[in-house]
Amino acid sequence: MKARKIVSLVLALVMLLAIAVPAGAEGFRKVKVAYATNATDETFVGRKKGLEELVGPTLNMEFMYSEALSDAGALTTFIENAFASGCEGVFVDLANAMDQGAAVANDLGMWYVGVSSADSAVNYDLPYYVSVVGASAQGYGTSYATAIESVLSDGEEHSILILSGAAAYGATSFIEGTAGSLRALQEIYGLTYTRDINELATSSTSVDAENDKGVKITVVPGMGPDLTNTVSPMLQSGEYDVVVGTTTIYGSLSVAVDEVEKATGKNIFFISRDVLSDTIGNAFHTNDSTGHPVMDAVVTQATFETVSGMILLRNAIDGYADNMRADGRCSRVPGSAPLVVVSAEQFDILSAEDIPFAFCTAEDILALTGPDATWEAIDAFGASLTTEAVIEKFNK
Amino acid sequence: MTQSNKFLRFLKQVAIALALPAIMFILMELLIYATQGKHLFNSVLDIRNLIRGSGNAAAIAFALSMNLTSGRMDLSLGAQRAAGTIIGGLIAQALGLTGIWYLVFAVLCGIAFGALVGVAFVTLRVPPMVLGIGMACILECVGFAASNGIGLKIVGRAGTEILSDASFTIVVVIIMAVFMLFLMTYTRFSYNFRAVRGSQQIARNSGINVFVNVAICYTVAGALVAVSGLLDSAFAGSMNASMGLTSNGSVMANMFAMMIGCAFLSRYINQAVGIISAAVALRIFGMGLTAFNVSDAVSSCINMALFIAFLVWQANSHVLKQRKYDRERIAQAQEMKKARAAAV
Repeated sequence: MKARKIVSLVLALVMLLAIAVPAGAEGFRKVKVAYATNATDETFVGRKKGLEELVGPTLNMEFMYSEALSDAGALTTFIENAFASGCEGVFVDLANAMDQGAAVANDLGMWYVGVSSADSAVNYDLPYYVSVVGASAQGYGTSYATAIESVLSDGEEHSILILSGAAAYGATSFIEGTAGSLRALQEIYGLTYTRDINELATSSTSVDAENDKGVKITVVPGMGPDLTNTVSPMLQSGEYDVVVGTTTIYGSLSVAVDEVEKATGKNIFFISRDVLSDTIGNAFHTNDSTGHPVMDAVVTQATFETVSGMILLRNAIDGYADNMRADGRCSRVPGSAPLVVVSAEQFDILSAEDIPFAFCTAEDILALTGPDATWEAIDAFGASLTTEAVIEKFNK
Repeated sequence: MTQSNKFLRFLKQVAIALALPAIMFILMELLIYATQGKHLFNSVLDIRNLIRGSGNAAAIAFALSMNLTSGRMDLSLGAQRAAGTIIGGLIAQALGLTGIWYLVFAVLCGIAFGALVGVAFVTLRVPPMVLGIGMACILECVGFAASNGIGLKIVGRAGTEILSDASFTIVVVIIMAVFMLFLMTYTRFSYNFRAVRGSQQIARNSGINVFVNVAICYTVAGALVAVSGLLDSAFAGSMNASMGLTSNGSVMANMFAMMIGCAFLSRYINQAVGIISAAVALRIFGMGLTAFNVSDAVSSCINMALFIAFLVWQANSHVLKQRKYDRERIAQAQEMKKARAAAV
């Protein structure tokens, strides 16, 4: 009798706990997914926060994160460790080893989503290779062109320093970001380059984009903290008054730019690729020593790819992999082009406290899961998240 | 020694200390002007860059000199640099402190980590390189875990502008140089250091506590690399929580300055001054390569090739001297033989 009472009590407790599980997780089996990243910078911090606070509770997913990985060997080790610790899926943000990682995950029976601005080149027909997400290279090109047109269409002459990031290593988003910037300058100044734009964008050394109008444009490869040592001397020559970063440059170059502005009394326009963080917000709202905003435009790091990747993995794990793949191969889900923020007002709207991660609410995410969801629907939803649409949706 | 002799000797040492940076500056200036039509230094900002870069390099070179000259290759210096900077900075941020407190806490953490490695070395008796690798892995993880993987972010933080100010860097470098000059020249520790470097057995037999001396070396090295780490991250805006032993790259890159200062210039001038002189000269060289638009990879290749060439010359310079001496002796013997034959 006493045993029956105890068992009843335990069962009642279990039922109570089940009810206490968040509504978004209802119906979802708890799963663990590995997240392989190429950098543990502010972008990663923002994505991690979004996963922990929105995607995880909504889709009942737990995440295991890697340290900053740089090659296929490190990625393979991480995937194997993830498998050993119970992960059923892996999300890989390491474009240069994406396809190799897919083979490893496939061997282990782990569902796989990669992030890249280009489609998969090999292994795309592996059964566990679900999708490649990530804003397309053309999207980055368009966004950078928009940012440059917004900042430089003042009719003045400028000298531009374009930091091409990993373009020299073949990273397509950087190539298109650089090429898009060069094309935008071509439009603004009506100039013709003496060399091919793609050749300039993928140069492995600093190169002047010589043109018929004599506008000073220089393309400099490289990224990371070492960029400071390479670029600072160029800025300090006083020749440039526009810096365009196809990679995150605000953190590493803000001090150098500030020093040059103070020394020369000249404003330097700053266009960076970044997340909508407090640091960037301060940059938009703060004036430099010349009285202009520190930050002039930001091409945001695409965040929808993280959400779409997890939705694709969730659906694949739940048995709907066929709807997430495209005709026997991994699908390509570029989603939206990166948003462009060109003013403090736009920044405030897009980074308000109540704005959800990747501009996706829990309802939006849940609507893209289940047996009726398709990769095309996920892609279409991502494509609808333009700057104007997001501002209209959330600026109430 | 008379006063005038002392003064002349002092002037000679000053001239030697300035010679290497001056020669390097003239060389690079001529090359750049001849090929590019530009100057090496175009504004006061270039001078600031030189000071900042030389200060960083000198701090790391000082740290390397504490152990490497005694045959101990500490591969955990880079990790001590990263972890000390990250954790010291995070402590300062958590306490709501700004500015110089970042440096204070970074140095304190550097001291702690350096002492940890030093005590581990003298206690466990593991070969220094092996211990260095292990401790590097551990300290990198410590820095990573403490910062949740993102390292230390200084950009945009109010009150941290002073850390990237050139005047502040100059003051820190001067303090560091004076400290090292005093520590390695006028203290009992410096005598014990040189005795241990000469022969550990003899030093031990003469009553020097080798273990304490070595532990202090590691501790001082930890403090010095933390200074470098904090100054570097103040300008770059952040210190990344790197893993996989990648933190040691920045330390290895400054080994050349240490070797020039310790193995060459120290014959003529004080070692601490020699290290600073070498750091400035190599920084000028690096700035010259940047002016030629040389990529980072090629610049590193050139630096390392010159470093190896220097080491080869350093290891074999006595051979040239010996050959010259042998030639003179042979010539002398032949002269004597001829003279005797003539006498007969």
